[in-house]
Amino acid sequence: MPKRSIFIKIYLCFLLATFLVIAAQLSLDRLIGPPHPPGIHMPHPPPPPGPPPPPPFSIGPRPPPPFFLNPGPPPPPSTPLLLLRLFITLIISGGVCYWFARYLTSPVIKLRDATRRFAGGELTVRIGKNAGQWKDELSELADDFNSMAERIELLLTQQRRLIRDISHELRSPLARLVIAVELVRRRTGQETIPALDRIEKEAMLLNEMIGQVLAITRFESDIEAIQMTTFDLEKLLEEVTDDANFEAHARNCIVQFAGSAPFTISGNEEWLRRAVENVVRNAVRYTHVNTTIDIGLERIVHNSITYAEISVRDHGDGVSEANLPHLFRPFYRVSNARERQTGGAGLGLAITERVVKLHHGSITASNVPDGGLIIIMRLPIEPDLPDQTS
Amino acid sequence: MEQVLIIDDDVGLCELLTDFLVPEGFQSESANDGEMGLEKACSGSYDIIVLDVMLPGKSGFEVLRYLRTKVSTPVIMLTARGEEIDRIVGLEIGADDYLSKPFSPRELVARIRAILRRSKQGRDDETTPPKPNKIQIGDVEMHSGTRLVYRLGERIDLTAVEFNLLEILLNRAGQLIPREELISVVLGRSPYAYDRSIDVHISKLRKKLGHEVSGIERIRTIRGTGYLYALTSPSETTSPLFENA
Repeated sequence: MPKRSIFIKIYLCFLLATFLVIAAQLSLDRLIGPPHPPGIHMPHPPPPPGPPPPPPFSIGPRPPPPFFLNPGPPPPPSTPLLLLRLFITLIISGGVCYWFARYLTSPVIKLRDATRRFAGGELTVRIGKNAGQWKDELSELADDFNSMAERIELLLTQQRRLIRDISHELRSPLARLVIAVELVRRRTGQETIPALDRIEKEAMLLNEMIGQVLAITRFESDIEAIQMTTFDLEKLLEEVTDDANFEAHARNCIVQFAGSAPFTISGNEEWLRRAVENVVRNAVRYTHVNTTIDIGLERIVHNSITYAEISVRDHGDGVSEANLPHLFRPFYRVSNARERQTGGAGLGLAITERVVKLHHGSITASNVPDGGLIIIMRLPIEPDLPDQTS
Repeated sequence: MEQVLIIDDDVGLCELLTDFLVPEGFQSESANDGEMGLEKACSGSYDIIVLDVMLPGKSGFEVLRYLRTKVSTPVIMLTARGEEIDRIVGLEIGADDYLSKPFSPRELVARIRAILRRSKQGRDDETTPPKPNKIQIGDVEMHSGTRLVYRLGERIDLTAVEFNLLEILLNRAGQLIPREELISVVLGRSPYAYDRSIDVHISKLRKKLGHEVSGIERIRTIRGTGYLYALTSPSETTSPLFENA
């Protein structure tokens, strides 16, 4: 049991200590105790011949007062009896030592659990105080943990709030800029149109980036409060497909979804929608003109866990093998020139990865042999979901 | 000349919008906080209000909620992009449409025109003598002349958008109406990606009228295509039904 190892160690130490004490005591009994019972023993030297020395002997080894309450039969502490005594003390001390070890290690275990939860992103975790517990090193450690957690939480929330506020504020000048561009457009001739179009496009890209930064900060600060509900994943994919088709039609592409039956899953619908949407929009962006994007949904079993597997496949150039592992990094650019041409903001897939991880799922990207990229998201399905039983 | 009231704390944006709207034939005024906006809006001399969600002091939602108890001037909400909740909440409270910031002012003008056309239609209907145009499908009765809707004899309050939406659905009950068509006819614009406002209006209609009629779904969603209003005969529903579960 590596989980309770410090408990086991303390427990065994105590046990060993008590055991040794008892054993030592017993063997002492055996070594020193026996001389008390008188002369029946073998090694007694025969009394010296001649008249028995009268008075001084009365002080010497006298039979009547041996030990405290020596029972009638003289005690030859036979091995079974010794073992029985040993066994009983072992059981009693075992119980006491267990309680002791528990008492000593429980604050450590509490601290460890809190640290783990904190490391897992639960920034509000604090160690509660036990009423009536006096101050010792461990309770001080707990206090220190609490103040550390307090500080980290404060810093992180401040940082997130700052990023959020900056992003929000950036939107105001952007909104004004877009209107100003329209005003200029109205007042100038044909020759400015390409430049104005460009300004507008860049402004929209900037806006998308701001939107994604906001989304990622909102995701991270809400991570504890994200509500999991059950919903139909198939319907969600259907809707994402419809939406993506608006964009795809502009490039003469089609987004196809091959799903038919309702597929209940537990998760956060809003974030999962965003996660899938990001992947699909990415695919629409990179697929070649006049091609299709295929979205699939399957139930698969891997290592005896059931997963919902969402696949999104485009018919584009794919991504070089060296770049594949970095695809989900924020602002990672496979190819600068191409990415700018097609206008990605660089955070979409990073958000997707985080959302998938929140749902304890996995995401992988790979090249399809006959061209294009396929992104596969696997989300574990809890076995006790209603549609499983029906 | 149509009067537009812009309620937005961004003074620069208000100025630019005014610059843009005036040559388009609008008269524009602005208010930079919720309080002042409400005061002006309640004076009632505006044809349309453009309302930002993020306002210092009173939020745009609060302004809208209060405004709806006083006047029925059409409202376009300005929301931050990506905050889908804001749009849905706005439409739920009674906004007629929304635009996400930053927006193209041309788009804003198009939306304003579409809404004004719609509300003018409504007003024309009121001024012209009411046509005895009555539609009755199932338990719902609609009087186009007076723009009143009854369900089992009980009056149901609908916004202009909801009324127009219900009118199309009832007129073609039992037929599948494509989502695109509903968006272009009811909201007066072409559909675009990630726009769920028509679906929000549909769900509000469902909520107000009850989800079921004679035990079947009142307004059915046909995935990826559109909506269908259940065609039931009035006789089936003469007895009150309590099944809007």
